[in-house]
Formats: sequence, structure tokens, C-alpha cells
Amino acid sequence: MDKFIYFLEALSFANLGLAFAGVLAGIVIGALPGLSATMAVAVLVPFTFTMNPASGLIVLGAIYTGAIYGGSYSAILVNAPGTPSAIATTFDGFPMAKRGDGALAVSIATLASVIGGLIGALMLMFLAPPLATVALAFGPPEYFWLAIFGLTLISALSVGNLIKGLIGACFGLILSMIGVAVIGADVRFTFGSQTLIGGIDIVAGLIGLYCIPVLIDLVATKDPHLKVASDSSGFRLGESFAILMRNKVNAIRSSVIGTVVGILPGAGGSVASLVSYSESRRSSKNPENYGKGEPGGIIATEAANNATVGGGFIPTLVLGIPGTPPDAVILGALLVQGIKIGPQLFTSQGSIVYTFIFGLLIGTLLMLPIGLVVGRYAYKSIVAIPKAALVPTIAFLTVIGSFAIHNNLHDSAVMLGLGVIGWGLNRAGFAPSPIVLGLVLGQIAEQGFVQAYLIGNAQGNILGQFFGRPISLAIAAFAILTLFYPLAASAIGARRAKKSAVDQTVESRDANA
Amino acid sequence: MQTLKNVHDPLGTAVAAGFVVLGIVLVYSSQSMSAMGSVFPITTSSAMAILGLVLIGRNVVLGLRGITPGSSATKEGGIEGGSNLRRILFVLAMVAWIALLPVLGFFVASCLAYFAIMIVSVHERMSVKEMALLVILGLAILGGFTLLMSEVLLIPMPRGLFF
Repeated sequence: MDKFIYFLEALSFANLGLAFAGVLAGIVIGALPGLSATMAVAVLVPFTFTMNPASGLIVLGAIYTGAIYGGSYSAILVNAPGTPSAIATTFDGFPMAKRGDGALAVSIATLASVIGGLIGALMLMFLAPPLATVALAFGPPEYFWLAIFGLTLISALSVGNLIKGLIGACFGLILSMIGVAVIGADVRFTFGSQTLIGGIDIVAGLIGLYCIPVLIDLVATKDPHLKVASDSSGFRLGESFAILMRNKVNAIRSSVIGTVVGILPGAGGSVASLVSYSESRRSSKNPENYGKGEPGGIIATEAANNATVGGGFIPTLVLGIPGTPPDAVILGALLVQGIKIGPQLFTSQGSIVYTFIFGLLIGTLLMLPIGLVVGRYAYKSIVAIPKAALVPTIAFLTVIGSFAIHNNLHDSAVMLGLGVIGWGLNRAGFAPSPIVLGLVLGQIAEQGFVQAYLIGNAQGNILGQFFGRPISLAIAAFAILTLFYPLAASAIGARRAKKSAVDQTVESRDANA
Repeated sequence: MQTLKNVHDPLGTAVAAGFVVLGIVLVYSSQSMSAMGSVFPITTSSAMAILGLVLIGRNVVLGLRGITPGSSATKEGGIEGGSNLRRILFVLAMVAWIALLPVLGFFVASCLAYFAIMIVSVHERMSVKEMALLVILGLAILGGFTLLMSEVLLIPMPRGLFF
């Protein structure tokens, strides 16, 4: 009964209006490459101090969930993930947009984001205390294996070109090591440059590697940026819903993965979406379509990254450990509001917490109409704007987006440099995605490995650290399965084809006889 | 020389050779790091160099067998063909843009680079009306985003000779 009262409180006219404004602001900021969910939440935190705690939290939750979803627009329409958690959305979203299915891709991303957001928020509401213990069960070896699991996606992204994919991943890992090492504080691979001491920012790398090559090729020809489908009017909502129903298991599995990975401090939406994409491809009946415009890839990524919103709040509210950077900002806002974090929060200050969770659910539901309308106009604008205006506008966004990360032009220079290198490597057959995977997951893998090694060394059991813990072993097993699945699947397929050819030959001989 | 001509995927092979050299240089420069700080760099750089050698060896063998390569562009690949001059001009405009931001100021440098890239991107003749519309649209986008960044998001924009 108490929860119903909190639900009605969240449904007040003022809270609904705040959730609406928050989702809209989040979508717009998230859609701009370089302007992250963390920035959106951080900039708007001071405005919430004048509100009552529950309303302030509803706004922050709505901005956060809207920004994570908004990252999918630029990933689908201009191949530039608005946020790192939308990296895998580019794999299938941009190919879909290029062939004229941009509106369909945006609608699918919207529906999947809503499903993921709802499942994450419901798990926050009902399973927060038990799930928070998962965060404590994850140590350095588990983080190491989780990053390795994400890296195994390279084998799927590089079918027919595995050696180049692996070289690209090594290059990305090396890029992630540039600057001061997290453990040991060695200054690595800066070659005396002051600019590189801070390392290569992931967002600057993402914008450069994905967006600049598209622009370089866009200016070279008369061809339009995206094809226009003959039935491009409308949201194609019915078609999107039918595709989602065919991928319902994928959507639910990805949402659960997103929530669980979101619980892990430091892992975040990028790891969650890459792991979900990998799992979705492995379990698909048509894995060969992934990376060529398969809706299942968008569903997996978007469901997972929006589920991390609810998942990230679990350790934030129960343990006081923020799951993701925006959670850290929101944690600060909670403390300013005088809310005491801890397992008792759900009982001692239930009115605030449950009103906030219901606000998060309402904000996620509001994302459906707002997202569809904004997405439709974003797609129509990208298609309608002449190339002569589109190219400089996207170029402008890449420059300000990379500058805004640290208010530093060095990030813009790194972005452009990586973009040009990425374009050259792509020409030679080295795709950008393995490089990006290495860049994103490198630091998590290295930190986990070195910490686990140090702990194992101190305990005199290094192998036990990496191979003697049940969660580690389970993640390692999934990583190995994912790594070798494409090879095994093609070998099984070839054997089946050979067998059926032999059967046909025998049958035709029998018929002739 | 004949062998080089027959190499399968010459561009990919040349880039792989570059990665081998880079890997060796990085392994060498990792020697001065602490044990913990050098584990990952040495492992990754060595793996990159070894994989580069494997790719070169594979391409040489395939070339000697007379197997002709398909397009080297990846499935994420961009557009083959087109004007390389425009590509170069675009990159130069981007370099100038980033270099001039602290000199001229954010808005002025962005205006110059924006319209330079616009000229590079135009492939067909335009009427005066179309050009005027593009200029107005460009100024609106630049002005709108500059205000958003500096006044709403309170990001300190670079200020040079102008603004």
C-alpha cells in the first residue's frame, strides 16, 4: 500500500513535467557526440538543490536515462556513438540507416531502450539489496575476465579477417596504455609529449575513429549520406514491435546482463552493451548478419545500456558505491539533500527512494513517445539537410564534442589524428571496431590483471586468483565459447553442407539406378 | 621484386610491416618501465608484432600461390573512389580549424572552417538563393551551439583575437 502512495506522489503534475523535461534534455545532450550522460547530470545537479529530494532525483534519473538512450541517434544516423555505451549500436544501426531503414532502426532502439530501462528499474525496486552483494563478489580477476569477454567480440567482428582484427585490437590496447599507468604510475608511450601524459580519452577516440572516416569519404563523392526508404514516412512502429517480439528473449537477456554489469562499479554501459551484443550474436540463428544491419544487434545494445541505469543505482543506493560516473554525481546530490545511503535507506527513507524509482519508471515510459518523435525528426533532418550543410555541421560537432570533454583542444587534436589514422587503416582492411574495443576495455583488463596478480603473488597463489574463483571461471568459459563459436559454427556448417551434398549425390545415384 | 608484385593484399601487408616495426619499438621502450607497468605493454606490443609477421607471411604465401585478393576495405569500410583532393582539403581544413581556435577565437575560427568545409563538400552548381540559405543555416547552427556551450553548459570556449 505504501508503494502505491509513493507511485501517486511520483505521478504528480510537477513530477511528470520534470520527468518530461529531464528526458528531453537528456536525449538532446546524449545525441551530441562528446556531451556525455555524466556531463548532462553534472551540469543540471545544482538546479535540483532547490527542489524537494524526490523531485530532484526524478529529474536527474530522467536526464540520465534520456542521455543514455539519446546516444543511439548519432550512432545510427551518423556512425558516431553519442555516448560510449552506444558503440555497438553503430555496428548494425548505421548499416540499417545507410540502406534506408534509419527510421526503423531508431524505433527499434527506442523500444529496446524502454524495455531495458523498465527491467533495470524493476530490478532496482525489487532486488536491490540481494543484487548489491554481486558488486562485492566481483574482484580484480572478475573484472579482468569481463574485459577479456568484451574483447572476444573481435572474433565476431572480424570474420574472414581475424588476424587484422586481432592486430587492430592490440593497437587499441596500446592506445589505452598511453599516459600515466593507473598502477605503478609509469609514464608510457608518450614519447616526451606533454599532451599525451593524460592519455587518450575514450570519447575523443570514439568520435575520431567512427566519425572522421565517414566525413572524409562523404566529401569525396556526390552520393547522399543516407538512402531514403520508399516508405520513410512514419515511425514503422508496427514493424519495430514485430521485430522486438521475435527478439524478446534477446531483449530480456540483454536487459538482465545490462543490469548485472551496471551493478559492477567501473564497468558501465559500454562493457554491458558489448557483452550483450556478443551474447546476442552467439545465440542468434543468423550470426552472419550481425554487423551488416541486423536489428537484433541494436536490441541487445540498447536494452543493455539502458538497463545499466537501474543496475547502477543498486550499489549507489544500497552500498554508497556508484556503479557508473553519472551515479557518482547523483550520489553527491543525494548527500547534499541529506539522504543517508545504506541498506536501511529503503526502509528509513522509503518515501524518497520509492518515489525516485517510480519516477525513473515513468521517465523511461515517457522516453517512448518523446524518443519516437525526436528520433523521427532527427532522421528526417539528417536525410533532408543537403550534404554541403551536413558535413560541416557534423565536423563542427566532432570538434566541440571532443573539446567539451576536458575543455581542452588537445582532445580535439587527438580525435582528428585518430580519425585520419583510422581512415587509413580501414582502407588497408583494419576495421575501426576492434581498435575501439581495445581502447575501451584495455584499462579495465590491465587494472584487473595487475591487481589480481599482486593479490595472488602476496597469497602465493597466482593461478588460483585467475582460475580458482567460480565467477571468474564462468566468465572465462563464456569468453572462450564466444571466441571460438564463429569458427566452430562455420566448421559445423561446412560439415553439414558437405553431408547434404553427399546425401544428394547418393539420392541422385539411387534415382538413376 | 617479382615476389613483391605478387604479394596478396599489398596495402594490408605494408601496414602490417608498420605494425611490426611499431611493436618492436614499443617493446624496446617498455624496458625502462617497472615490472608491473611493463607487463601489459610488452605482452601487447609483442603480440602485435608477431601477428603482423603472421599476416605478412600469410599474404606472401597466398601471393606466391597466385590467389588474388578481393577489396581490402572492411565491411565497416568507407566509399571506394571519389575525389582524393577533396579528402585532403577536408583534413587540412579540420587541422586549420583546431589550430586556429585559440588564435582567432571559437566563433570566428569555426565560421571560417565551417564554410571552407562547406565549399569542399559542394559537388553541384547552386543558385544564389540556395547559397544564401546554406550560409544562414550555417550561421544559425554555429551561433546556436556556441550559445548552448558557453551560456547553458558554461563551457569556457577558447578566446583569441576575436571571440
